[in-house]
Amino acid sequence: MKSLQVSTTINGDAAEFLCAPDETLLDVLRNRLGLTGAKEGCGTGDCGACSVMLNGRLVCSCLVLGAEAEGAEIATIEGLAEGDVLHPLQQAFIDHAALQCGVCTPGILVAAKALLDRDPDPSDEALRYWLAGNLCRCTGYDKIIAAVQAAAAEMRGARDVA
Amino acid sequence: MSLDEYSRREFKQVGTRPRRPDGVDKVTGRAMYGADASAPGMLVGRILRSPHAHARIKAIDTAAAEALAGVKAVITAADFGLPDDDFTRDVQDNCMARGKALYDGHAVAAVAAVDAATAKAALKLIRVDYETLPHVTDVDAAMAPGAPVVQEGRALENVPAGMSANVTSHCEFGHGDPAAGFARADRVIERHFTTAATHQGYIEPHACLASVSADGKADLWCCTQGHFFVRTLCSAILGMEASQLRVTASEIGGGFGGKTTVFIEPVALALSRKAGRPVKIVMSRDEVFRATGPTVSTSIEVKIGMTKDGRITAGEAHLRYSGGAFPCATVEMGGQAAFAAYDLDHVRTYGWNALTNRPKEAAYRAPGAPQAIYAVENVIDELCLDLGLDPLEVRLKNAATKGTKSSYGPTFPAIGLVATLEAAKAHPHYTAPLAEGQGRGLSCGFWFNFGGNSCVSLNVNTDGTVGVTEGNPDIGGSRASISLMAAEELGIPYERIRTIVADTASLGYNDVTDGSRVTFAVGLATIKAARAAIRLMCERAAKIWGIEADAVEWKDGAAVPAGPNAPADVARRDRRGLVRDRRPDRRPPRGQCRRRRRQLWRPSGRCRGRPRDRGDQDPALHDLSGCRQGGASRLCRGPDAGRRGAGHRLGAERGIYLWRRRAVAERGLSRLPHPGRLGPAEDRHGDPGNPQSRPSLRGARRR
Amino acid sequence: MVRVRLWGSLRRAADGLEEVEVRAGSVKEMLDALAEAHPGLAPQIARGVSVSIDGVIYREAWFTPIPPGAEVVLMPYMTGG
Ligand code: FES
Ligand code: FES
Repeated sequence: MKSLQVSTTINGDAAEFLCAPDETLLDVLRNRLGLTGAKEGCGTGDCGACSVMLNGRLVCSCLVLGAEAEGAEIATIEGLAEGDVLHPLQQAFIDHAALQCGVCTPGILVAAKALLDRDPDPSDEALRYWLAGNLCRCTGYDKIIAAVQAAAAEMRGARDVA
Repeated sequence: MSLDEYSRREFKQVGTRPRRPDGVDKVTGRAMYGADASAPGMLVGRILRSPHAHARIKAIDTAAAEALAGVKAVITAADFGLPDDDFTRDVQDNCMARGKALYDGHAVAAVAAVDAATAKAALKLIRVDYETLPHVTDVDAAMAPGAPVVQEGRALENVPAGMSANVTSHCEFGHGDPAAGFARADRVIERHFTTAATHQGYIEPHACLASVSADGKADLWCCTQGHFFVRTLCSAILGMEASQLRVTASEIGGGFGGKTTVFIEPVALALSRKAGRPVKIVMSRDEVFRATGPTVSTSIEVKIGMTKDGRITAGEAHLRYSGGAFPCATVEMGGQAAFAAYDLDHVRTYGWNALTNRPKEAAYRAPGAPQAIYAVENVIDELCLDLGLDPLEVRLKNAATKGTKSSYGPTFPAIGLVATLEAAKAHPHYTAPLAEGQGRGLSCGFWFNFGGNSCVSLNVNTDGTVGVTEGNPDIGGSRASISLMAAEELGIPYERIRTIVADTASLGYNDVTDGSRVTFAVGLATIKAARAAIRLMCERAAKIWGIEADAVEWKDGAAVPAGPNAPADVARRDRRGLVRDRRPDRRPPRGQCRRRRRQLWRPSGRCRGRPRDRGDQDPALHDLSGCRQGGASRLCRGPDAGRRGAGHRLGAERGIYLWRRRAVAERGLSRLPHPGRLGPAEDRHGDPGNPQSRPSLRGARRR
Repeated sequence: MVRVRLWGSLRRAADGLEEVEVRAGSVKEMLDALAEAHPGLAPQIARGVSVSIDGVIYREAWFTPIPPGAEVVLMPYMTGG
């Protein structure tokens, strides 16, 4: 199979890669670009560990082909912190012990940020629905919900001040 | 110093909630899990799996796969030897079927190729000639006469003759006379339960990267709950010496018991050995579910008798477990745990394990116990309903407590069940009104604790901070717990300690992270290591001050003179900064400042004769200069030196001591002195060959 | 002498006894003495056992001393998840 050349933007930086036509975006990120923050838990769109943003939309990168990233803007967990300053969501996950083994965490953080970007003040119910596609086997979801809500409150506060 | 005895103590650090040390790496995507490793020239390994639940493998033709461009190695069971102990052979046969495929998904061959597409294509070219056989997947069916036989000749000596060949072991626990107990009951209920072979379901599939070099040395990076055990299994399977195989545990994306053994690691090593290149294998989720260990499947009968007022008169359980296609002893745990929460006069459990055409069982959260307890607790609940009794009160009434003869033999020490039940009773949730559709349940459970072999190395760094090296993969935050315990013992802040999980070449043997043992056992090793470090530092401080070792004690992270033997003025003088500079050019000239000289070098008023010379012959100074970080001249120059007086404060700006020690935590195991790991001075002055001069963890140097 | 309690299915291998007495000062001495006095126990001991001494469970702690009068119970080799 002939490789395809793809030009894209990842976390604000221009990126080019070659990939096979049947290669997933997740495999491209992990195996070709060294961005191993997104994880493969299932490869079938069930666990959400591979969540990334594609043109502002939350996707399971295991269900997206690398070739589909042509001309797209991609955001991954690696771009969430600004330099050495953690995003409020990241900080809240540490403060609220919302992770244990942590393998689901990158996907959950990307997904939670996607929600807070469109709804800065989600109800618990809306949040649980939104994160229903992200499986965590260790932590128990309550702490995750509490952490996201804490981060949301902090981000709203910062916005109000600004 | 016995750690076995519990004594009440005010904790300063344990019980606080510090930030977990792996937090930032995990929220930024930087943490390295099993599948995140890579190596230059790495090949992709893929495994061909049986589509049949039970089939004889008549032949495997790999020629076409080997001929495919980009394929660097193809292996089958023929590439492995035949370990002579049953346990290792079963693990190996589970990783690569030998002669028969025993379950759907059983590995039959593997390839290593330059990329995933080539590896996949190569698998399609492997021809396996199967003769399918009748299969059995249900434990009761497997125990019935005439059932398809999964493996011949696997029954242990404890299985009575005449049973199905699938029955591999039998066990029995308990005491008293259940029949007599049932006769005294007002109500007896007997029920049958089955539980499925559910999977641990960790989010991270198994992954490993193996690299075997031409000289036989090998490195293995994998996600596991016990890399030392991985080394044991893989070196036995590959016919290697353990010293030549270094295993590094990655961050682990959940295990729940399922990562306490190997599935792909020996395969990756064999492929790498054959191909001469690193090989990475990452399981798909489908492979995880088809070919890695779920828990046992079970079929259980429970019979319990109870009086009208809620006293259990007798309990009996028949437990039939299947650990899949290989013998498994998990039913023994179920048999012991089933009734262990209760104080019973008459109790008996009978356990059987049978082979079925299912994946080989792996541990899963108190393996074997929840299934049996689930059955027992259901029957107790039904009795409560029947007799109109409160399920919590009934459990309180029958709860095992200190002095209870447990259903599996030992007499319990204090076990806390009554206190737990009382706390549940007092909790608002226990009486909160229930909304429509809500329910409330209650169950007791039981699990053991068995310590296990643990090795910790604790180093005081050159700047006084501390590194703790442990050998158990951190599943739930144990690095934080271990750091906390070290901080507590040493009396220094948690932040000044970093605990890491070392590879198998860097530390003594550690048992697997299993059975809830790590915080307990590795914690004990850490506490011992910290206390040994303190003892050593106090001894060195005593030498520096020229006072007796027992006149130094460790307080708030510092060695301080103490006790009746301590010269009263040491602290005062040090506070004035006199023990400061031993460099000859800064020394007060002889005769010019005699008083100060005496204070510097003869802190003890009881010192006889000439002020002690601090020349190069003084072992204490050897110690310090060995640090190459300023040595003795920096002794009390830390930021705290002025304030803390004579304290040698950990965390002071210059290192004072270099210290390494390992501790073996299995209580009762002989302590292993390790002369090679001591600071430079000991290396020179101690004779490692002479047991008398060997330091031990129990303060032999105090003699 | 150490009195060792056996679990149910081991008793058949020890002439039906629930408790057996052996002369031993440590776990290893006890296991060796048991296997010698009751060869039927040897296969299980070789496969591995845990030992409870006064309610504390040991695994592979061969040199742990057994205090006089201690309650000693043989248990299957413990594993966990
Ligand atoms: S790996 Fe993409 S959803 Fe699970
Ligand atoms: S923390 Fe382990 S899966 Fe979520």
